[in-house]
Amino acid sequence: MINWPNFVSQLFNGLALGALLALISSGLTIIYGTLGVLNLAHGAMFMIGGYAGYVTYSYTGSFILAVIAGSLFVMALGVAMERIIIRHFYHRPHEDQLLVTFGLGICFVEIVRLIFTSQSQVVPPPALLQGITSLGFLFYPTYRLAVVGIVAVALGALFLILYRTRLGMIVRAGIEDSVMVDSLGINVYRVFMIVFGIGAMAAGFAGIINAPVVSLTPGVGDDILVETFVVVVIGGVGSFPGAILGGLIAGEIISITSMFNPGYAYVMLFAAMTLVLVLRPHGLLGTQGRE
Amino acid sequence: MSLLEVNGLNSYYGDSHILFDVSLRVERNEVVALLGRNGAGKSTTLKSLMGVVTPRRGSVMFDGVEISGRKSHKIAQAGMQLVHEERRIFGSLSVEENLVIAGLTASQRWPLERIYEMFPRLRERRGNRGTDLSGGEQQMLAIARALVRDPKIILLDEPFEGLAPVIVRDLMKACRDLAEAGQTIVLVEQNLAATLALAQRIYIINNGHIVHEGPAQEIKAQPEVLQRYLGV
Amino acid sequence: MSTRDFRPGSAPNVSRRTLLQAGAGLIGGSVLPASIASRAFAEDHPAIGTYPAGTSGSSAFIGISVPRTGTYAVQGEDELKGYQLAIEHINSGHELIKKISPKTSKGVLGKELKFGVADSAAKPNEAVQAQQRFISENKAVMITGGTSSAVAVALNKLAQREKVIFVCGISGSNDTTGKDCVRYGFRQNFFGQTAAAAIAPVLIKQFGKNKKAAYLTPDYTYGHTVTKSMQDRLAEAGWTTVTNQVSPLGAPDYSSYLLNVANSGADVLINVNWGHDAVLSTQQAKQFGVLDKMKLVVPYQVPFIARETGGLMQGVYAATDYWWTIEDKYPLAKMFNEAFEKKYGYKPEWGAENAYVSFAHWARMVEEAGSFYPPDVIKAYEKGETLPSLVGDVHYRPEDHQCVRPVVIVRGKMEKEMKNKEDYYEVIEIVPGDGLMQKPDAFGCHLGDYT
Ligand SMILES: Nc1ncnc2c1ncn2[C@@H]1O[C@H](COP(=O)(O)OP(=O)(O)O)[C@@H](O)[C@H]1O
Ligand SMILES: [Mg+2]
Repeated sequence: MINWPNFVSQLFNGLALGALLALISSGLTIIYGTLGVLNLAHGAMFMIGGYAGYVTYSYTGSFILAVIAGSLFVMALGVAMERIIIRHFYHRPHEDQLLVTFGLGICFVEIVRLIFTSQSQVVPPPALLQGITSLGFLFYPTYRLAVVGIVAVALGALFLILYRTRLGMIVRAGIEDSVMVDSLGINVYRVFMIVFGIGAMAAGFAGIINAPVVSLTPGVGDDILVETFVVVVIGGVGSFPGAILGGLIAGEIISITSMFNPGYAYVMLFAAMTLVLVLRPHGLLGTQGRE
Repeated sequence: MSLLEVNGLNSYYGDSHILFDVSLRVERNEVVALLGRNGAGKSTTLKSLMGVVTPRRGSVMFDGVEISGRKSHKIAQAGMQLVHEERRIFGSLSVEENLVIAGLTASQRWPLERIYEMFPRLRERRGNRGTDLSGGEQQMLAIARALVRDPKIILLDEPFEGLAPVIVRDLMKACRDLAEAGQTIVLVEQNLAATLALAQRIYIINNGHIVHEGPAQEIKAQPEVLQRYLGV
Repeated sequence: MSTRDFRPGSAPNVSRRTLLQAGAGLIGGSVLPASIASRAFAEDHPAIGTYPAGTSGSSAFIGISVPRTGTYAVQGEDELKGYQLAIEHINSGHELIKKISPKTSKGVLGKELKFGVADSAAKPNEAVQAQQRFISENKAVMITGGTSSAVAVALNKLAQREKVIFVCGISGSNDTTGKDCVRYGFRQNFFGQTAAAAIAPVLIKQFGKNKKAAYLTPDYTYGHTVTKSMQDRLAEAGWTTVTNQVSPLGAPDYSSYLLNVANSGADVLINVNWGHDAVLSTQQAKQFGVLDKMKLVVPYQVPFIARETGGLMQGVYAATDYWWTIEDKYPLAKMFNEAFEKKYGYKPEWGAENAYVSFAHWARMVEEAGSFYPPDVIKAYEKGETLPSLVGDVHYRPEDHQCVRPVVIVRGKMEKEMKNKEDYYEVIEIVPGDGLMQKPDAFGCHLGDYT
C-alpha cells in the first residue's frame, strides 16, 4: 500500500479529517480556556447538531436550512446548559465539573436514542455535491472536498470573531485571566455564556456538516470527543491556533499511519500526545496561562 | 462621609481565616498606605475590597454604597480599580488592547493620549504583546490599565517591588503626580521610604488584624512600632 | 445523629443502563423463603453454582446482557426481543416452543422464567460485571450475552468459573467454541469457519479463480478469525489478499482504510465489520467509489445492514444465520416470523432468531435432564440428539458444544425485484452444516470440568 499515489491520497485525506477535528476542537478549547470547564458533553453537542439538522432536513428537504437549524439549536442548547447548570459549577472542584458535563452528555445521548433509536439515520449531501471528483492523484468524494472548504470558511469566521472584534478580544483576555477581565468591569459571566454558546455552536455546526459523511447514530460523538480531547492537548489548552494545528496533526497521523498499519492509527495518535506532553507540557501553542 | 469605609471585614481562604475584623477608612483625594510583614494580609485586604476575594462578614461602604459581596465587575463599575501585585496584564493581547479592554465598560475614561503622555514608554510599545514587555513596562501598563477607567479609588499592591531603581523613580513620580491631581490611592508597599513619601496616613496590619493607624509623619517617631510589626 | 444506611450492591460502578426487567410478580417469586424449597433436589445432587438456590422458589432467573449502546446497539435490541419472546412463549407453553421442546408445558420444569437485562455496550468487562451480579444477587440459572465475540469469550470463562450455564448470543469468532470453549458454554449460531466454508464456493463460482481480495476487519477475535477462515478457504481457489484493513471497534471514520482499499487493485471487497461499523464502512465505500470498482461481499451478514444502507446491499453476497423468507421451506420459521412480527411490528432478523432458538433449546435440555442441576443439563446437550430449529434439524457437538446447523447464503435483491419493503434478500442456498465444520479439535477446544 505504500506507494506515491496512495501517500498523496492519505496526506489529503488527513487534511480533510484534520479540518473537521480542528473545528470541533476549537469549540472545546475556547470553552475550556475561558470557563476552565472541560465540557465532556461536547461530543454530544456534535451529535445533537447532526440530529437537529436531520430533523430539519426531513421536514424541509433543504440542506442549508439543516445546517442553520442544527447550528442554532446547539448554540441555544449550549446557552441554556450554561445558564441552568454549568454556572453553578464554576466554583466547584474540577471533578464535579467533569462529572456534571459527562452526565449531561450521557443524558443527551440517551434522549436522542429514545427518540430516534440506535438505527442510523442518513442526511444526504446536497445534490450539487454528490458524487466523486477526480483530483488527478486521487478520486475523492465531492462532498468531503466541500467539507474542507466549508470548515475552512467556518474557521476563518471564528478567527475573525476572536481576533477582530471586541467580543473576541474579551474572550482572548478571558482565556488568559477571567478574574482580571471581571475586575475591569466586564461581566465575565455573560462572556462565559456567550463563549459556551459559540463553542457549542462550533460542535453543532460540525455535527451537521459531518452528518452526510458518517450517517448518524446516538454514539457518533463519543469517539469524536476522545479525538478532540487529544487535539486540544496536542495544540495547547485554550489556544485557538493550537486547536487548528493539533487538528491537522491528528488528521495526518490517523491517515498516514493507516497507510502502513491501520491498527496503529490510534496508538500513534496517543503516542504523539504523550510525546507532546513530555516535550511541551502545555501543548504546542499553549501558554502556562491559567492556574 | 469618607469615600471608603470598611467595618469589621473578615475574609477566608477555604477554612483558613485570614482577615479579622479589619476596619479602615479613606477620604477623598487621600493617599493611604497599608503596611505589614509578608503574609500579614495586605493583598487579601485589597482583593476583598475589589471583590476578587469575597469577604464573609463585614461591610464595605464605597461612595455611599455597600459593595461587599458584589461581583468584581460591579465594584469596578462603581469606580474602584486594583493593580495586582502580579500585575496580571493580558500577555497575548497588545499593549493597546490591554488599555482598550479596560475602558470598555467605564462610565468615563482617560483618552489613550493622556495615558501615553504619562507613560511615553507605552506609546512606543503600543503594538507589542503583553508578554514582550519588561517588568517595569508591565507595571506601567498595569497601572495605566486601571487609570483608563478613571477610577474614584485605585488600590496599588506593591507597585515598586522587584523593579530597577530608575524605574521605581519614574513610577513614584507618576504616583505623586496622580496624588497631586487628586487621585485617591490605597498603597501597599514594603519600601518604607517610598511609602512615607507618598502617603498621608498609614495603617499597619499584622496577622490579619489592624494594629496601628496614624498620620504618616508620626510613624518615624515610633521606632518600637516599626520594629514590632515591620521588623525595621 | 443519624446512622447512614449501608446498602451493599448500590455501588455506582454498574453498567449505566442496567435495569431489572422482571415480569409480573418478580418480588413474589424471588423473595420466597428458601426453607420451603423442595428438598428433593438437594438430596439428589450436591449444590453447584446457583443450584439449587436458583430454583428454590416458584421461578428461575435468567441474566441477559446485550449491547444497547455503542456500535452493536441495533443488533442488541433485536436479540433482546428474541429473548423476551422466547421467555414469554416458554412461560405460556406456546405451541412453537412445544414443537422445539415437546416436554414443555408452562415454564421450565414448572418454574416460571424471570429475567434481568443489562447493557453490555459490547464491552466484556461490563457484561461480566452485570452477569456476576445476576448470578450472585438473582441466582441466575442461565446467562446469555454476546453480539461481540469478545463478550462471548469473557462470559464463557465466567460461566465455567461460576458453574452457571451460558447460552451464547451472537458470536462469530472461531474461538468461542474453539480455543476458548468451555464445558458450560453453548453456541447455536454460525461462525467464521462455517461462514467461509459456505460462502467461498459461491464466490468462486460467481467471480472465478485467482481473484484479488481486500478485507475490512474489526480488530478483535471475531474479525481476525473470520478473515483468516475466509482467506484460507479462498486461497484454495488461488485468491490472494492484497490488503487487510484492520480497524478498531466503533471507528468513527473509514476514509483512510478505504483509500488503501481503493488503491489496492482488489477485485472483491470482503467486509467483515459488523453492526454500525459495517453500515458506516459500506456507506463510505460507496462514497469513495470503491463499490464501483470492486464487488462487495459480507461473509458474516449484519442484521439490519440492508435497511440501514439503503440500496447498497443490492447484488451483494452474504452469509447469514437466518433470513425470514426461508419460511417457505420451514414451517417453524413461519410460526416464529408471525409471532415476532405481531408483537414487534417487523420481520425478525437473525439476532432474534438465534436468541429465540437458543433459549428454546436450553428449555428442552433442562426438561430432558429433568433437573436444573447443571451437569445433567450439559449432558443432555452432549447427547447430540437431533433437534428441531427454525432452520430445520440441528444438533450440538459434544466435543465443542457448537450447534451443527446450516448457513444461509443470500444475495441482495434489486429494488424492482423486492416484493415488499422488507424483501431485501434472495436466498441463494441453504448449505447444510455438517460439511462446513472444522474437526472438533482443530481450533484447540478443551472443554473444562463438569463440576
Ligand atoms: N490563595 C490563597 N489560598 C490560601 N491561602 C492564601 C492564599 N493567598 C494568600 N494566602 C495566605 O493568606 C495570608 C495573607 O496573605 P497575603 O494577603 O497575600 O499577605 P501579604 O500580601 O500581606 O503578603 C498568608 O498567610 C498567605 O499564606
Ligand atoms: Mg501581598
